[in-house]
Amino acid sequence: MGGYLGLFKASYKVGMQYRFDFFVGLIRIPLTLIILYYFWQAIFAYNGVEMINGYTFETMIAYYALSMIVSMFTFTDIDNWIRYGVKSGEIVNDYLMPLNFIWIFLYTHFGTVTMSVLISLVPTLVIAYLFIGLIFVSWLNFLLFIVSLIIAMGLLFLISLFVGLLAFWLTEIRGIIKFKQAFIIFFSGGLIPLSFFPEIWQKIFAFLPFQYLKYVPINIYLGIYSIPEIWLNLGIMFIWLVLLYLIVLLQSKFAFKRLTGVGI
Amino acid sequence: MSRHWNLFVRTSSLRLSAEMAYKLNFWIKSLAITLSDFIGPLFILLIYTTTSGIEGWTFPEFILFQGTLIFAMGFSHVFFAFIGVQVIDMVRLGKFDSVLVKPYNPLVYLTLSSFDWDGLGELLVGFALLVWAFIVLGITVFSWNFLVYLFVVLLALLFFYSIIVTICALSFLLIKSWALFALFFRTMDFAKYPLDIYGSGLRVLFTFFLPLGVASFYPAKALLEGLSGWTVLQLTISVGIIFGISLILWHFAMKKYSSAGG
Repeated sequence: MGGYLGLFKASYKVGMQYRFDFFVGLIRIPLTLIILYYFWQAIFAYNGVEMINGYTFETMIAYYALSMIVSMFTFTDIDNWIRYGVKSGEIVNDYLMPLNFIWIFLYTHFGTVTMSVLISLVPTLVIAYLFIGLIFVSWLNFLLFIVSLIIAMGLLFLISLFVGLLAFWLTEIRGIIKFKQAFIIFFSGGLIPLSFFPEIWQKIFAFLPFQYLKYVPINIYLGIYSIPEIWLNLGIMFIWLVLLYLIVLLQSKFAFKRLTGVGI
Repeated sequence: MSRHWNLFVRTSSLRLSAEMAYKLNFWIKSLAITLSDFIGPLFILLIYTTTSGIEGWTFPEFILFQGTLIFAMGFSHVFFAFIGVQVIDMVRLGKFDSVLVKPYNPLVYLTLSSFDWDGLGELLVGFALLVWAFIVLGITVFSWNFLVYLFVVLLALLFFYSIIVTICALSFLLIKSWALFALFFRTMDFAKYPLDIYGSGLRVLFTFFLPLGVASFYPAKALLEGLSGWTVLQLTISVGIIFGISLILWHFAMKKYSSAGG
């Protein structure tokens, strides 16, 4: 009997771990939104204007809520996995599979995305609704937002894969991963809408893939772009997707040439 | 005392050689950490260049406020944060006994062996922002207000230390507490903005019960307007209580800890 009880306790504890993570996930996202709500409220109140750089108070809060929803879908840990795989040598297993290895990573990536969405989507939607009532422009905007979200997932995935594959040359890439994170927060519009940056910076951003990770999809949803502008942006996103795919494909060929391991 | 000093120097240099195994990585990582600490101030800069900001705070005052927070967080990153990393890893892998058999008090040993070189960039960013703000605002260090400022910053460091010890103690009871760390850092985001923007309920919470205000709001107020003795006393008591609770929890966790085969 004692043994069974021990097993029960152990499995309960394992379950508790995830429940605790779930619980913390429930609080974390609303906390950030609450802070930003108060901060922007103070800014709008003090400035006494309806609109700042193209955003009203409501669209600004919606911007951040959407920013979190977008990150939930685009989140990827693939660079860390490759880093671990290269350091431990387990990457050989992926290489030996008779499959295109980019797709192997893509499918494992879907697993983590599903998990992160399950944990945080519902609480975020509830909070976003409570705070502002989600802004809904039109079904067309919504559908095009979904398209842009899917491309954004692909873009961030490929950027992370690119960073991860650098491990074949550098072995330890924790620093570069951190760098990538800081860079993306900065240039994707996760910090603040990019329209707050000086003109010249915005022109530079247009030539980089990063604004398509967040800023552009969110603005598509919020109806800040006209429909032709949306199509133009989606076109550019698609070109970036193909370009990055080709770069990573080429890079992976060189990377695996450097690979030496047991069984190959 | 000298054996404690030796412990500190030895473990710190060990950690440095571990970092130096991948030199390029170390420098890139430090640069990345330094850069990400500029994200907060950059956010504020973008807001103050396109709007008039928020009531009661000019841009340099806001930088003084955030610089204090980054400095205090950086200091805890360098000196305390690794306690959490060590304990959580050891508990999970069952290696904690190695600390118990050392001829030091476990908490003292962990505290002295947790110097983290990663955080130096953060400390420097905080310091640089403070120097800039002090010069622009014309604040002198030879004043009563500056002494109060230093005292409140010390309270902030004690507060961070207590939180880390608490999280470590809880990791004995819950086995894994990365989630708690994440929650704590998210809660610390409240300290990134002046307490006067929040509702009165949150203000009371962050002044009395979870005094996050000691890390940014109250030190900045001490320099800019001065704090009443009453406020300083109240903050001291709040932080003191949290420190006491953390020690009690730690002792409770040590009693409860049983290793494999124990």
